[in-house]
Amino acid sequence: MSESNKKISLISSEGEAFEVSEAVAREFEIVAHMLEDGCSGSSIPITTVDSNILGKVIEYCTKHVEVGNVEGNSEKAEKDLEEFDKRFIAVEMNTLFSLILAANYLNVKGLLNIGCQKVADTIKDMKPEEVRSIFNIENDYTPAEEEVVRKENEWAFQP
Amino acid sequence: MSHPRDAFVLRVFKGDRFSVLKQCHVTKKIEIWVTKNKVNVEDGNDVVWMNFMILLIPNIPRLVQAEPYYYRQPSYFIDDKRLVVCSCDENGQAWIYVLGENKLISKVQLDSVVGFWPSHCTYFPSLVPVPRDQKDEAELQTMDSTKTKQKKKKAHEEQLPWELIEEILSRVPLKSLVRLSVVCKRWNVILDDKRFINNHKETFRFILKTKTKIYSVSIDPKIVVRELPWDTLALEYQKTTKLVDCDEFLICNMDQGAVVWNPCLSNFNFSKDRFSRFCDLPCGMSHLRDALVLRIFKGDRFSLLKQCNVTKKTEIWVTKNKVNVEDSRDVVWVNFIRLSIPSFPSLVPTNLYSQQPSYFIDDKRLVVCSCDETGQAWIYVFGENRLINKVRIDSVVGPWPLHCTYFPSLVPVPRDAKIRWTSASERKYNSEWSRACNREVFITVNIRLKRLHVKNVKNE
Repeated sequence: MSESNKKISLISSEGEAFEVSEAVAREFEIVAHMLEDGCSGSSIPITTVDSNILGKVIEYCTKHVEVGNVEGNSEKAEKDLEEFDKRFIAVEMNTLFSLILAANYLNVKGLLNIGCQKVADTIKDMKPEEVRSIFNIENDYTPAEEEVVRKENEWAFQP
Repeated sequence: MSHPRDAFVLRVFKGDRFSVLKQCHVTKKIEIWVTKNKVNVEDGNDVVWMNFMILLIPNIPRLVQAEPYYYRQPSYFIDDKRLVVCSCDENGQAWIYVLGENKLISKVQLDSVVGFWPSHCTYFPSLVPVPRDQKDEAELQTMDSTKTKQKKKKAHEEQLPWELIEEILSRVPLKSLVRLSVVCKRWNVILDDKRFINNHKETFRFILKTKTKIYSVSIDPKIVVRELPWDTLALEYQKTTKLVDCDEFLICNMDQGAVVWNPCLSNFNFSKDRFSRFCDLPCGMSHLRDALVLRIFKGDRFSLLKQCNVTKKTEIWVTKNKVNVEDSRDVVWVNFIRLSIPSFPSLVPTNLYSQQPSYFIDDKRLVVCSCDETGQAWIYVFGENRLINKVRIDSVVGPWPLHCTYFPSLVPVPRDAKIRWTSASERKYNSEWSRACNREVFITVNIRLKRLHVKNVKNE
């Protein structure tokens, strides 16, 4: 395991404390920077992330730190981790968005990457109307404008 | 203000300081004051103002007019040592004044602004999305149309900030992206953004084609080869003799005519033409196996790569100015990169000297694709007079692939593209096609005559 046994408390927006090893906390690049800047406190408030999401992000980082520490049989470990990521990210869209926002804020690159990839894979075959409702995007085309863009890109609508 | 019609405008300066512009209505003297240090928004005690610029220029215009518009203040920004001001004259016409070195450098009336007394402000383009929570933003400026738009956005809160949506879209396959351009205007506009396309996970810079397969090669952050879907009947049954890229499309030169193709979107167009002499090249081939390749550079200039087969010395020439396709008299070639590297690879294989390398220049790097003696494709990255990286493209099946550079685009091939191709199999031509200077031109190089020919396609 990690050479440092130091524990750090991450405090969610509701004030709930999550105690993690320093190695896991360092997976949050934002926390790693705070520690390098000499922020000595053992509890770090993560005010923009709620308990549910923070717990999930910690679960993700813990798994990745664990696997990273195992020496040898890297191929099997990599497969396992891939499986874990796949299961981990199979959540409903709103949770996925919250995870992406948290991963972006905390700067957990691996999680940001698989989160964005999951959304991309989900929307790539969707109808534009469905995509609008998922992202809560307002259609700012007039019907005539939309028709022009559709016409221009007609070929892309064919399988 | 010493007078109600003085100009008096506060602005943020260099991101974290303040500046104030003042013009006395009577003397018309302009003064710019700036804060000496970074402004600490929590503590106003250590704000020290210092005089940054005083302009006392004869005939300087008044930046604030008389009744009823005396509340209309000018807008301005400071750029290095210049002061650039926008204000209306007494008729309500907008003007831009550029002031510097205690004189009026230039003034321009904005004729195209319709109507009088337009609202104006400075703006520096940015790609930062409008923040979701604007409660803290000081809204001191006058209402204008952009403000109203921001308000509307707020009522329709989006799930993710734009930078994250962009991050997601960079992982959506290009064809799906085109289909999703009807989601909203912003999703449509992003497809024209070169920066976005360049960051897209599927982006690539070279194309290699063997008898049965076609591959893309991306360079950054590492060199990756991918097979492109080859679902097109047209190319399959024809023998491709040459690949040429242009800004947006790929031209596959066949024995009979050529095919225009957008490899991102896999759509096609068939086409056939003739050229006129344009200008001379700065150098020619001194040996049969020299590399000599012409490319479009920065959208509207030419570049020429030459490698001497004997010394291996490699040079890149570029045209000094924008190329005007109608007038070749002012084409000036300058030497841009000169590489003299020990054990420099030969970019033209000795046994198949018709195989010229393909290349692109990116900042100060030169990235080249060429085949070695055995027909294996390599990517070389050069910079600072050394070879930074070389990678053999192992995954390409079969030797001697055709290759060219390509910058992905989502512009579909126009249905009525009138591109014609002559002397398709003639080896002495190196061709290049581009929309240089917003014109569709077809360019070819006659290596033996050291001449560059240009065909303006649009005027056909």
